[in-house]
Amino acid sequence: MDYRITTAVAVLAIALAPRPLEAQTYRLQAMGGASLAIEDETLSLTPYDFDGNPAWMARDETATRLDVAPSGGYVSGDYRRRYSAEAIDRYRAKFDGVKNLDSSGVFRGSVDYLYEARQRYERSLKRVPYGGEAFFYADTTAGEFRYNGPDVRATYAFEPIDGLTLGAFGRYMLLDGLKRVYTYAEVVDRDVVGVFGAAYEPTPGIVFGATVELEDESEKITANDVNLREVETYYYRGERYRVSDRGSTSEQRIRKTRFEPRAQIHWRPFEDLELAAAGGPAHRNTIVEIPTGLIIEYEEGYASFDGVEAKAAARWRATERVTAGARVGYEQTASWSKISDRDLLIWEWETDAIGVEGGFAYEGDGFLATIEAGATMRNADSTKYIDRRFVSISSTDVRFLAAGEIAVTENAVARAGVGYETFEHDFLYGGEDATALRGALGAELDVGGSDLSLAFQFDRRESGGKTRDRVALIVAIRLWTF
Amino acid sequence: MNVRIIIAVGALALAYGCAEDPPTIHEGETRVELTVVGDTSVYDTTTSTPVPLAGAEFTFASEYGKQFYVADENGRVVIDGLPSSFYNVAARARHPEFEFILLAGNLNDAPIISGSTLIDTIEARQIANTGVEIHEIYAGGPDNNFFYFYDQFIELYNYSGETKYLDGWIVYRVSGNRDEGGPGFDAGADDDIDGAIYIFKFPGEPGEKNIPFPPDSYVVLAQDAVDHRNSISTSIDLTNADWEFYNQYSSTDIDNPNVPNLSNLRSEKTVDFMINLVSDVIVVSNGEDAVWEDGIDIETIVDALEYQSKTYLLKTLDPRVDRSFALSPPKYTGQSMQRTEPGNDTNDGLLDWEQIPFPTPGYHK
Repeated sequence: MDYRITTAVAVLAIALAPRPLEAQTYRLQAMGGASLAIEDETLSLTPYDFDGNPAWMARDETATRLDVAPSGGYVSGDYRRRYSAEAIDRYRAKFDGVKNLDSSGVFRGSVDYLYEARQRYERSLKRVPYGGEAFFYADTTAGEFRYNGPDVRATYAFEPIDGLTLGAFGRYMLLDGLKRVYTYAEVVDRDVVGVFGAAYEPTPGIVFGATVELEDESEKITANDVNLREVETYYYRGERYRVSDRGSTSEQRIRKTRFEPRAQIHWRPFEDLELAAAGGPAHRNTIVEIPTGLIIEYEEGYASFDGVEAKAAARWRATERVTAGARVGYEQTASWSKISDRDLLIWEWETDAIGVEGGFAYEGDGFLATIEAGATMRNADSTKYIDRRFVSISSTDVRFLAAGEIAVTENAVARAGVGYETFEHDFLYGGEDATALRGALGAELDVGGSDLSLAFQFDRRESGGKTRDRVALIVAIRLWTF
Repeated sequence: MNVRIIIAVGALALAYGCAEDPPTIHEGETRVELTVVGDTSVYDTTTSTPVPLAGAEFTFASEYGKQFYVADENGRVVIDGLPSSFYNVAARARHPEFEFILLAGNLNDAPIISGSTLIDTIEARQIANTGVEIHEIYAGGPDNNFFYFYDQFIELYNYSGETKYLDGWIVYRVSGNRDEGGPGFDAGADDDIDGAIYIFKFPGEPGEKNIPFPPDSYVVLAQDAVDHRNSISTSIDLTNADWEFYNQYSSTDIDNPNVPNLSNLRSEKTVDFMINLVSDVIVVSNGEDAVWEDGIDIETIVDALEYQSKTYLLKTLDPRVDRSFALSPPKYTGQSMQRTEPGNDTNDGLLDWEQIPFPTPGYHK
């Protein structure tokens, strides 16, 4: 089982979905993620909603609002990979506001405070052990690892001339992590993202957009035993071979950069039909460094990722009550890792995925019902030179989803969704013939002019008799004036 | 203003978008073909013909740690896919006719690099022995976070089959000579090793027979022969040690009156015989070269060991004394290091020594 190409391909699945700059709406979360055929202000196919182009926010986000949204979740189960946690508690407190500045544009800002506790996190000292690189950093113990810190985001968009919008998105996240057993590793993970976008509407109904996305992440890991003993850590090169590092302190710094130019087009040929396409190349790299002095760092390894991604979607309001939606996507990524000082290639992999999905929604008097189905074909080839392992995997994954909402009273809406997925090969957790069952329940209440949303989600992923469960609860209050 | 923003974004994009080309050589294409031959002639044989040592044990040591292989009936190992590195290779085998004779050989800093084949022959030699070996060194201290390491000890073992006498023998800590090759290096190429900083001596003079060391027995030399459990519960009781290092020039060194002492020969050193917890050189000599200032004559050395915490650190002890070094356990973990079996002295610390989970003063586990 080639477990370490799983993350890369898991990323593909995400890429086939919309790329909103913020999380899904609370409405979607309460309906199991249904999105293809539902008409919603946050689900349009414009460059902002469909592909995260901040410029078009000047048109899409016109209402001033403030969301206060605490949430919590729990993941547990024995279906997992080698360097992963037995269970994860995750909590966040989110404040997300949009301010319409009239002719000066639109500003959106959000502040999250994240808290995550990983129970029996198996040996890895990296926050993201499966990042697609051939390098691991581990000690000898499984134990609790806690991360917490703020995640601040801001978006600004304006329309300097009629039809042309410009925008920028920025994110700064700073997480502190601490392993609570030997080697008592401390982590400082800093992630900075910038997206610069422009969108142009030459004639009503057609929008062209372009974005440039840059990311710079640095994760510094310092293992330093609080009991003043020595610590022993391992720099893994591939799966089998490792270099031991022993001393009063052991450190590693992982630096990641990403560059992603993208283009979008949105076309509304007539009022009931919406079409969109987006895509672009992407390049990112990871450098693993080991400090050898106060300011000198030795480059242990380097990994490169190059890819291209494209997607298209359509939504058609066939009748007054029926809406149809469809989406196709393609992504290809190639990566290699090397040992820097010897300039030796130790791992190469390549993945591609193509996905097709479609759905219908029926809107009755006081209710909405939707069904969705989709299939994704994935291929992955991996050559681990250092471990002398060569793997080629293909998988066809199928998903179904049914969801609905119903107005219970004039001020209350109840929502639910249930989904089922099958995976020939589960790239996320490495199992064969895996299944995933998803359920969601939720409600929205109008309380004195403010909206109170609730969403409860439950997932069970299963393969070979092993399961991994996830539950999450989101509570959101939306204030329309502040 | 807008032009500046565009230029700034463009510069950032250029910086972030630059991609390296992948290396042209990939890992995993190493091949090693090594043969070990040894001189098996004994006693009155005047000519010798090296013969392949069937079943010889090979140890490959590099930054990736140690890996073990066994030779075929032709004394040969063929290994594909070792990760590229510079390896210290050691081979050893029992004499085909006489079990008590060991043959050992080395190949140091051998380049095993992807895309190439290393073909070589190791010539193993019979190991000359003195009959007494350093058998265990407990240096790292017990499991504690108070920097307690005063329960250190050195254990000797007599594997000669006859009684030895320790009169006038000297135990050295060799950690000086940093500017001239490092501890244990033969600076000046005058057949001695340099860098002794602590020199403690058994009573008497070499050649006297007042301190017998019976065959197949152990002698424990304690830094302080007391029950260290009174200080740290995870420590050990050394009140039954055979000897105690005692610095007569120190006003604070502990002296158990029931345990005889090795005494300090350097009056300017006023501390006990403390050794480094993870990295040091320990030497035992027969005392016939008492002039330590010009180095310790190699021919007087009974046994010596260099221990280090990592496989890739520079070895400094003269290879005529020991060809490699032992890997020490982490400090303050209560672990110790000892020979893999009593009498296993091939003058190759990497092969002969292992880490053990707890100290074993006076016995082998």
